[in-house]
Formats: sequence, C-alpha cells, structure tokens
Amino acid sequence: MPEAAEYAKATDKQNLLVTGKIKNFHTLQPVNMLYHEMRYAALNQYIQQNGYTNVLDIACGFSSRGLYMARHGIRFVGAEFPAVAAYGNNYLKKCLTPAERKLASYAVADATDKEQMMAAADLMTGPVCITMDGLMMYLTHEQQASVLQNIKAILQKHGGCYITTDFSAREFVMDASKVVYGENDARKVYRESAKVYEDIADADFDEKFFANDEEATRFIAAQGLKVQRIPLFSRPTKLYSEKGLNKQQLQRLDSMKNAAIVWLITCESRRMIE
Amino acid sequence: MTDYFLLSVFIARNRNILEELLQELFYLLHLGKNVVNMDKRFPVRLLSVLVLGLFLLLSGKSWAAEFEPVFLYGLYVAVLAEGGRRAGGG
Repeated sequence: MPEAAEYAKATDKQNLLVTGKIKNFHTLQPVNMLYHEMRYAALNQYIQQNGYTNVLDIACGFSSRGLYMARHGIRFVGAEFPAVAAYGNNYLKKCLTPAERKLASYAVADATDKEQMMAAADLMTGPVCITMDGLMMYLTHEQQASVLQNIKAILQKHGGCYITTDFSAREFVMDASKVVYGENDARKVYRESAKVYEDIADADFDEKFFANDEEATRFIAAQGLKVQRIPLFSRPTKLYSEKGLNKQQLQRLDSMKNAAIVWLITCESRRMIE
Repeated sequence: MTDYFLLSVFIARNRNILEELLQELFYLLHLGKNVVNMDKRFPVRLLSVLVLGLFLLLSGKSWAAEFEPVFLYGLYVAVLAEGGRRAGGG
C-alpha cells in the first residue's frame, strides 16, 4: 500500500522495525499482508462507492486512511487518544498538501467517551461513515457496548453508517491463511498472527471475541443497531498483496473477495446517506 | 517499493531454496570448481561477501518497506504508552 509506506516514512522511525524478532515471520507475512490490505481497501471502497464525504475512523492509530481519503476529496477525522492524535496530525502535515490538510485531521476522542466521540463527529456536517479497523478485540463486551452506544448516538444525529470487519477478524485471518496455504493450519496461522499483536499490546483477543457471528449479531442488535453483512468487494479489485501469488492462490482469493465479511451497521431511525 | 515488494514475496516463499543455493554457491566457489569458470585470481571472498551483502540488503529493505502494519502498530503502542495508555484503552 503506497500510502502506508509513505506514512511509515513520515514517522522517521522505520529503524524501529525489526521483523527478525517475529516468530515464523515468513509464514505469517503473506497472510497478514492480505488481511490488512483487504480490510483497509474494502472499507475505502465502500465509502467511495456509496458517496460518503465524511469519515470518522475510530481508534485509527497510524492508519494511512487519512492520506487516502484526503486525496480523494473526502473529509477524514481520526478519533484517537491525545498522544497519538498529536503525532498523527504531525505525520499528516508532512504528507499532505495544504489543500489536502484541510480535509484530514485527528481529534482527541476515547471511543468509550460519548462527549468526545460526538465532538469528533461534529467536526463534520452531513452523514458520516464510521470506520474501525481493529479495535473491538481489545475491548471487554461492556466497553464494546459503550462504543456501540456512542456510534448509535452519532448515527442518530448525523445519519450514515458504521462499517467494520472487527467482528469477523478471527475468521478473516483464517480465510486469508486458506488463500495462501490451503485448508491446513489456518487456525494456527491465525493464533500466531494474533500473538504478534497481543504480545506488543499485552492483550488477549480470544477473550474478547464473540463465540460466533450469531452471538455478535445479537449483541449489536441489543444496542438498538441493525446489522447487515456485505461482501468485501462489490467490484473487481486488484490488491498490492496479491502480487506473487500463484494461480491456485489467486482463485481462492477471488472467491474470498466476494465473502460477506464486512459488517454494515446502521441506526434504523436515520437515513444512511442523503 | 513494488520491486522490493515482489522480491520479498519471492524470498519469503523460496527462502529455504535460496539459502541452499547460496550455501551451494559458496561451497563451490571456495572449492574452486568450474561453476563460474574462475581461476585463482578470481576474488572469491569478495564475491561471496557481495552476494551475501546484496541478498541481506535487498531482503532487509523489502521487509521494511512492506511490513508497515506491524511497524506502525508497534509505534502506535509505543506512543500510547508514552501517554500512559494501552491499545484499546486503559
């Protein structure tokens, strides 16, 4: 992903990257590249195809989505903790032109804090597409409910939708593993991939995931939100991470691109987009 | 970036074969076999170091260029820690 490389370069801290410390790096690498690029690209495609002009990316970290959106004329607000927001705004400043900079910014907002989240959303006018790439697996179910309530409040006020693959993250990584390595060892590849991130952040994802999709759907519905599952990509999409895959792997990837892995969550009482 | 990207995917998938080939190449070079029609004046050690250096340089750079997610995530967690936070809050 060119903008991710650009963003990483803007940090001036690439010397911190030591992949040699990652166990089974060469096995995990192609799977994780696919997973990360697909979830990133799928949400971006949904936003553009559905004509959204506002994006609120919750707990976006140092995602390069802000660069991508600003360069496509879409207003982007990344909701983050203060330290990350400060660094993030600096990185955006380094990468974007003055005109693009007006479209992308970080706002200080804890996803579980209703006032901060609403203030971040209020930086935009009109329907908002709320995105999330990798937060829910860090939160207890109680915290997840709180985040969903805040999202609901924003959707009730602004209209729009919330899209994420977080509720299918475990299966998503396993499916990506099946693309690269076939049916064998998908769970093992998922576990070892998850461990890379769990070790960095001292987290336990399996403790936070719902047992299955039905349980997650019921949980979201109980917060007064409507869930719909949609395909990752609704039009032919070429990925950077598919270069180097063989014919058989590409066939499996093509079928995965149509899998209903994106969770489209809306609030029934408001329109999605004007 | 694309070149590094392709190279790193190639290396990742064929690492064992590449390592065996390199070992074989060094072995043959040091034995003075005719694999590259060399004679005694051929800078064997220099060539070995260059091949190995090039391999490490290119593969190292390609890893750095393509693994932004882990790098950016690691940096993210470090910045959160600076602010007394953990990923996901707390």
